[in-house]
Amino acid sequence: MDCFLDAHYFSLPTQGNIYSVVNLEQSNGKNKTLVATLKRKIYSCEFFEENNILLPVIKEVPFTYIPTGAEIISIDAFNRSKTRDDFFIGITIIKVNGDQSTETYLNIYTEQDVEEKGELNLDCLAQNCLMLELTFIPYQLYHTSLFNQDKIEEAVWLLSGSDLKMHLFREDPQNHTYSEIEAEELFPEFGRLPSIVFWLDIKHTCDKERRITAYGCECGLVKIFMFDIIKNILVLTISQQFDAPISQISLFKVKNEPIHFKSSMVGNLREKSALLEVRESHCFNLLVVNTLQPSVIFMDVINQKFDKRLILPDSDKHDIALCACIADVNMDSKSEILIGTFAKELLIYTYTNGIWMLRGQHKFSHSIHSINYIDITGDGVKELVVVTMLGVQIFQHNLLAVMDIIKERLRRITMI
Amino acid sequence: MRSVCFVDKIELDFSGNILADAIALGDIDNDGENELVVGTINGELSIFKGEKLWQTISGLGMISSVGVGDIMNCGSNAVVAISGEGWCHFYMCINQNKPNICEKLQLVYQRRIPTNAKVMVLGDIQGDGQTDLIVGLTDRVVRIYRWLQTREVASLVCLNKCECASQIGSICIGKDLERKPCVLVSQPGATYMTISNSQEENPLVEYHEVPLPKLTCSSISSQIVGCVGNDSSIGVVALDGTVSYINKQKLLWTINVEQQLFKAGKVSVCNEGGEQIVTSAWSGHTFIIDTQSNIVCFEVGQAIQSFISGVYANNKSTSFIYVTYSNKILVYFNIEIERMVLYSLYALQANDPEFSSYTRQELKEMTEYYLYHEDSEDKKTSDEEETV
Repeated sequence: MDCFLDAHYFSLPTQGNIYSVVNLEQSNGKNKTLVATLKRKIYSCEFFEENNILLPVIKEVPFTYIPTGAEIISIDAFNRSKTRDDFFIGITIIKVNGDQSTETYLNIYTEQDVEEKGELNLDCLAQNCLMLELTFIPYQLYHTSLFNQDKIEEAVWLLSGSDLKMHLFREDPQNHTYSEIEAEELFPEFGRLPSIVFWLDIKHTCDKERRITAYGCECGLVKIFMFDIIKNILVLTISQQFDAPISQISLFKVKNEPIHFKSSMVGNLREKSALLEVRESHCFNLLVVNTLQPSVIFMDVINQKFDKRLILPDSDKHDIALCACIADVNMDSKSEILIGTFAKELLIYTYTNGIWMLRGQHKFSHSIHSINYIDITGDGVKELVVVTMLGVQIFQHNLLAVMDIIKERLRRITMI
Repeated sequence: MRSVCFVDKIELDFSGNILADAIALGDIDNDGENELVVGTINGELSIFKGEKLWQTISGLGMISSVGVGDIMNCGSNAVVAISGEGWCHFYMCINQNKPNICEKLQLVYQRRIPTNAKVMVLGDIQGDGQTDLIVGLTDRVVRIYRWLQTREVASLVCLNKCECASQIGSICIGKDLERKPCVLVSQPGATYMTISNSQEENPLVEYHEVPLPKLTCSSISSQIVGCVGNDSSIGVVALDGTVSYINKQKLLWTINVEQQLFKAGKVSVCNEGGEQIVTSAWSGHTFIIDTQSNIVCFEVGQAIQSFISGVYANNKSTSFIYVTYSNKILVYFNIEIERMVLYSLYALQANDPEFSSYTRQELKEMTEYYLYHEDSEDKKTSDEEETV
């Protein structure tokens, strides 16, 4: 954590949970983080620049149709458009009535009449709600892309429920509404769940022909599937039983993936890295955050199944591990794993010589509910956004050190 | 406004109500580490050392102010407690090397002073290296005392008395225009008074009005901090949240933090150096303000009775100490701020000839590429590791 400086902190009036943070990556390259709290308040957090000075701006977003007495369980969002801001934000709420009966809803917010090149207007978006009543208690709200055989993409919501089912919500474009459809038709992965799914992660291979699904359950079961989208069959199903609930799982690659740029500034450098893309497209590692035991990583889980199991040492020493983040915080082009625990400790693991080692930790004021590594200041350098039980803490990299890294790498490139 | 969160803290058990000025940090037992002294309105004086309560003394009246300093000018610090009823007690740690005596602090001197004492400062006001006691009363009077010791007598004598225009907010020791020590007395409505030539019987009292751009209510009480950043600069903090910074009687800036500020002090907690005004509100909001009016806020999250900043126990860096209403004293230690102002990488790149010719979009892409997506030599090794 030495490379980070405190940038900003704001406190929350009530606590959230591990599902209450979402990041909105706008088409202009800026990021906004939405943080939901139990008692109906949702805050947006972003940075503005004025006379070269960065100013944090925290605003409460007035989302409609969240009745008095309701509590927010989870939040998620996606941008339907690739070129402009056309966000869909989903919020699940629970309302306990006087007679102890509960009502649960999925609220989906969209912006009507999005203009071309229009920028995200959260206040306007928050006023336009579609409310779906649920018959179960919602858990994680997730979204994924659904590709058909022609590789045409469609975003769908996936909502884990207390009725041991995964619920799929799909847009009905003719009626401008959302409806639940049977998840198993499109996602055979979700047949016969043993207990509540706490965390789901879905990745697609680069060629969009295969979908890799991993989920962890309350009973400790972790399942991984590979689904062939072209042939419409499951080609791989493996599972592993743990002894404690799984709080988060994540499919990731150790090496950072290449990116595509709009301008030609680094164009010639990029072509070289584009070659790496397709090779080892199936090489995913799986992080399993275990609530009571040390968290583990299964390296190359698709090809090697559960054979290569690596432990994150001491990740069980700080009470329950609640959340994790895969991020290259030391800028060495390889991902680190950050684990947030109930005992207010953030743990940083690096991958060196085939093992994961604890390389740093940082104490927070409250237990850690979620960690994000995103460019919230908009300058290309990512910031660490840690949401604790009663506050949001943002860390910025030491910019002088960052400048040194850029200069050194620039020099190395020009020498070649 | 930028905020920060301080994590390292200890909690001390403490019950009772205290007046805002009845808290002090100082080296009571002369061991090189500071202790915390807190006096309640019921006359109980508590001394904390590290994470423990060290000693309590009771029956001191309604303690309105406490201080730690070498008031007897004998090379050993004493605890001075003054009460609203007009009692002034000196306690000193004279038995520290005798293990059988459990009473660590002993009463060495007491006398009556005029009643209604409100605030007190211990310090060298005459520039002769001797410690004086300056007491401000709710009767708008400031008295300066000095310990006098000859063969015949040993007592506290009053050197002089000045009357202020209106109620005293706080007093502190600053420097006048000739860089000689003077007493600064804050007055309502963000105005202040200076008392110089204090060794004489009739010192020079001057009344200064701060020309605030926005007219504040002239009856709002205020606090004063002397010598912030340099000798001739003063910070004045008013209860309505107005903070003004004055250099050589000229107003440099004024800001409003919209909290009821009731205590102010001076710290140096920024790693960039320099001194900052630290001021705290009843709500527990604490503001660290540098001499360029940049603000960093810290929230305790609960209402407070009093606040003090300084070095406590064996910590090297500054601590913020809060007396809460929930029977606890919170000591936040390791108070450090890297920078007062946040910048983006663009600000650095704009000043660098290597980067200044690019547009922001180009700079951003370049930054992203070189930091997170660079196809460097160690790519090979990471690939190997992945497939091993």
